[in-house]
Amino acid sequence: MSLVYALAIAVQMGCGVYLLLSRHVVRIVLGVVLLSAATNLLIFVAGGLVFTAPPVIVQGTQTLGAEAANPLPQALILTAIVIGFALVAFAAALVLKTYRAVGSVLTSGHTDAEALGSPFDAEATRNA
Amino acid sequence: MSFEWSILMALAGAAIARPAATYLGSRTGWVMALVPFLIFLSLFQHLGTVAGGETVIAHLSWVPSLGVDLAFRLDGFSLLFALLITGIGTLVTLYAGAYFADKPHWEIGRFLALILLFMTAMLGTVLSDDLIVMFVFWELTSLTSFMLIGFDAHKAEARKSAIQSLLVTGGGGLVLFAGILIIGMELGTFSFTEVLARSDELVASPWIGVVVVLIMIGAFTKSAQFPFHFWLPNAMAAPTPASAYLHSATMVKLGVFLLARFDAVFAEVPAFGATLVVIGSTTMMIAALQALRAEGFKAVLAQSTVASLGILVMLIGLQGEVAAVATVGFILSHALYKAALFFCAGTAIHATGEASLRKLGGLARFLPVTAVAAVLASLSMAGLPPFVGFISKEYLFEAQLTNDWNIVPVAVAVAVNAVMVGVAGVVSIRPFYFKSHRVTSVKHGETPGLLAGPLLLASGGILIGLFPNAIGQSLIGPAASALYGSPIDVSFQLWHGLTPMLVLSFAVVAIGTAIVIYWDAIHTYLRQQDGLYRLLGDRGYHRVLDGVLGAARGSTRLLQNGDQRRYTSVVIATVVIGLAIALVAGPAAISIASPEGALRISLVLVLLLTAAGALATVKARSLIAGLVCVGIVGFALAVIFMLNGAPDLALTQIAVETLLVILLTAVLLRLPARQKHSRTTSERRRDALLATCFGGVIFIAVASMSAIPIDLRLSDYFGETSYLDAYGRNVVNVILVDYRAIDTLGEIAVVAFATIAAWALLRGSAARPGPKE
Amino acid sequence: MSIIFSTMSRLFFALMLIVSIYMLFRGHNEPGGGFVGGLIAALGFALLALAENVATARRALMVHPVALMGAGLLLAFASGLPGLLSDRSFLTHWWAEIGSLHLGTATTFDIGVYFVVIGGVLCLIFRLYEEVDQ
Repeated sequence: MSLVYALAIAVQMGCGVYLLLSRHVVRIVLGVVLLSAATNLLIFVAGGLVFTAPPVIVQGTQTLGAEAANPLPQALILTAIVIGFALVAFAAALVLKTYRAVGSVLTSGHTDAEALGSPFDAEATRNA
Repeated sequence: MSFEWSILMALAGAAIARPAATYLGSRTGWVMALVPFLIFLSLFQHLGTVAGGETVIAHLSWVPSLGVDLAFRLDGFSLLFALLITGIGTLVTLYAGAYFADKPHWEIGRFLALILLFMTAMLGTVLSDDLIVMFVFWELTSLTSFMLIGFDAHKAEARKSAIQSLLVTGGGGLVLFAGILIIGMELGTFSFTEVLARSDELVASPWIGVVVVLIMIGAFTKSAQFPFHFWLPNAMAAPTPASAYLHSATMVKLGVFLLARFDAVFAEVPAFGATLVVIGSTTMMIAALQALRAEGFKAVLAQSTVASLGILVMLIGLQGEVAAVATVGFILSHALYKAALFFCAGTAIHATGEASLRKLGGLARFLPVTAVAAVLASLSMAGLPPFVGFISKEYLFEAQLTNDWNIVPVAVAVAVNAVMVGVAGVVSIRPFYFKSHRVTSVKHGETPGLLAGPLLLASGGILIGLFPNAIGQSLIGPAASALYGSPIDVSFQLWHGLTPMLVLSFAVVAIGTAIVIYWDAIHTYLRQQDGLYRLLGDRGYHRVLDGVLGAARGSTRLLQNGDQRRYTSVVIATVVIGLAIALVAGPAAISIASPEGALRISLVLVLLLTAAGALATVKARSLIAGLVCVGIVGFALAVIFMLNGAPDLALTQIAVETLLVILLTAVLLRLPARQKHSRTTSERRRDALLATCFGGVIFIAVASMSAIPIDLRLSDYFGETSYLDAYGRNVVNVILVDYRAIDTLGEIAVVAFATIAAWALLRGSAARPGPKE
Repeated sequence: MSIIFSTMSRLFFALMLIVSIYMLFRGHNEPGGGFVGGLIAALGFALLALAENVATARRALMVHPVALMGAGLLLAFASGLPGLLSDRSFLTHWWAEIGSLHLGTATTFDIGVYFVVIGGVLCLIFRLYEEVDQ
């Protein structure tokens, strides 16, 4: 079973990386979404997937049953999902803002900093 | 009052200087001089205790976990320095008030704040017993001197010199820090007192060679010794009061102070003394030549300071009681006359607006008292009786003659001292008494503030020379004893009788007089020797600096070429290589065939769905289609969570995925539809290869990971105590809101900040006209 | 906009809000909690914003989403202060036992999380869909 998990995680991450390498900013954002989803799954698998009962203490008992799933990675992933969402939302806002300011959705079109010239050239003119 | 409070007092003075200047106006200098003066008086009270040979230690715990204590140490040697720092600091403050009289008041305040901060750092350095604390103050002196040298920040030269001094002394400070850390590593303590007591242990350690070299480099950079001698003359870009302070009593002598402190520790290391003698002598020679070559009033003085520092370093390298007395005596006499001469130079330059010695002349008509002070200080510098300079020079020669060094250092010392005589003559006589036709008017005359400093210091030089015993018993003796490591019975005398030293003194004065007479010829000749200048100047520094900038330029062109895709590739390739190395070389073996649970068909199908969704995202032609594919992956993930007993995760994942699709749709509606590939075919191929490598490494890592047993202690603890201690049955939620609540607090703060940032980013952007294209 | 859709959306909005509050409070003992609850509530408001317009959703929320987020953060932070007083340990929760029900500052903390999530998500939704309305 773990090989299937490994395959799914690896494919998702590989696709995420491929998208991350794109010059289209939206593709980059989609790559981030895929990567964070795969990472969450990775943490989930790392916590061990032997038991499949929810980690809830059954009424009438006082401690978690032996057949319950590992609660710790679930807690970590829960916040990671929400944070990942906030991150992607911010990135999307940035994409929109950049497009409106620069007029391009390709990173090769975002050349405002390069247009200022090399910092070394600026220094040379100052010293001269 | 305990002595360690003096540092705090100085700091308080620095803090109030700027606001006080607004109220005090032109009286700022006089009032603020009270701060260093009071500290001087409070330190003066300790003279009796310390003269008895006692060492006062004060302790305040600071970072106990790192073994760093705010420990301070007052013995004869540090008291001498502390008195010089505060005494001359008083006069510098006074002088600066008068010097900046024509400037706006806030500028006086700013300058005095820096001077007092500088004094704080100096005091801290000489009084610290803990080496880490000392290092902190040491670097603070580098920083404050950077600000003082660059005080006239509108001048390019000032900025350049300031950066040069910061790079050299700050960099040297880091080297020193490395040395201190090794000492701490070897002895397990940073307390200087303890290092001193266990010096044999340190000397026996295999690291001793490294430690000695590191500490020497730190000291040489600070005290402008060869090959770091170039920064100090450039540092006179600072306003003259700051130069007087930097060059005379303080900053540059810290290196000497450090070497003298460690002299007792390193005494057994054979090469230590020899290196100091060689480096000191080299520096003396270079600086003497440069002093003859220099043209500016301050420049000549600055070069002679470097020569004096060379003498001090050489003296520390010599062994014996006489050398210790000579060191201390020379520190004192040099501080007195050099500060006085810088004050006189400052007054002369400020009054005429002219800094070149070749253009100044006849100033005694306009600045009579300054001229007298300059002559008195010069006589001490020339080492003529009855000035204190004479006594210290006699000791210098005696220290050399009683050591078993050959004749070369003695010859160097004679030559350099002769140049000092020459410089003393040139700077006191030429600008003030010769060529009176050169200067016909001055911008301002003498004011009490301008005179107090030079007069007090110059007359101090003659008073100590006349009554050497008082200062010899109370100050020089204890300082020399602290330096030497055991009590010395000092007879600090003006007249020693007809000794070989006296003969050398005569030779020095004779050659020096010749230099004064033939200065024009020597100066002109030396100025024509361009090769010499290139050899002695700061060309090496510029080479190194240019090299660093060149390397930065090259690496920037290589790495920072403006193509986002390349940055990402570098990062990902690094991750792939790092992970691969860790997998191959790591402790856990790679094991693809792991203990298998039974295949659950439903789960396998959903997992394959996520993989297919991811692949479809890559293949999708339109962005909306890509978004849909990503959404499929997200919902499939929620099913995986559900099937593995994580209902909380499944619920969250579904909600988030829905919201994400809603949000990204809104963004995509405003962007142009994707038409063509953003990468060329070969780029896409390369990226596919990189992505495959990444996926492959991840696959092996995840597959091997499941073979490693999981540590469930924490999870078990949460499971056992969740209901009993935290009254919650849903363990996941209890972890979030109770066990790891502070974590969750941080995370919701991140969510808040990210969304506020997005909110601000998109503020009013819809109202703007459309994109340029 | 069809009247049926509009009415249904309002119905669903009310339903989701009730579910979200239910999720929030049962979270301590059953699957649920502040994060899930907040997301479901935000979805409810998003539904309203999409079906009607953002202005309606804003009116339904009554407070500014950024203010809601700030209030949530403050609430979560404040829930840690009692523990600071009694145990000198920030975010060590206090509990009161009312019959078989345990009420404590942990619940306050979860309500803070709930508000932050609603506020944060709605910040984004409102901003992006306000432009559609214009």
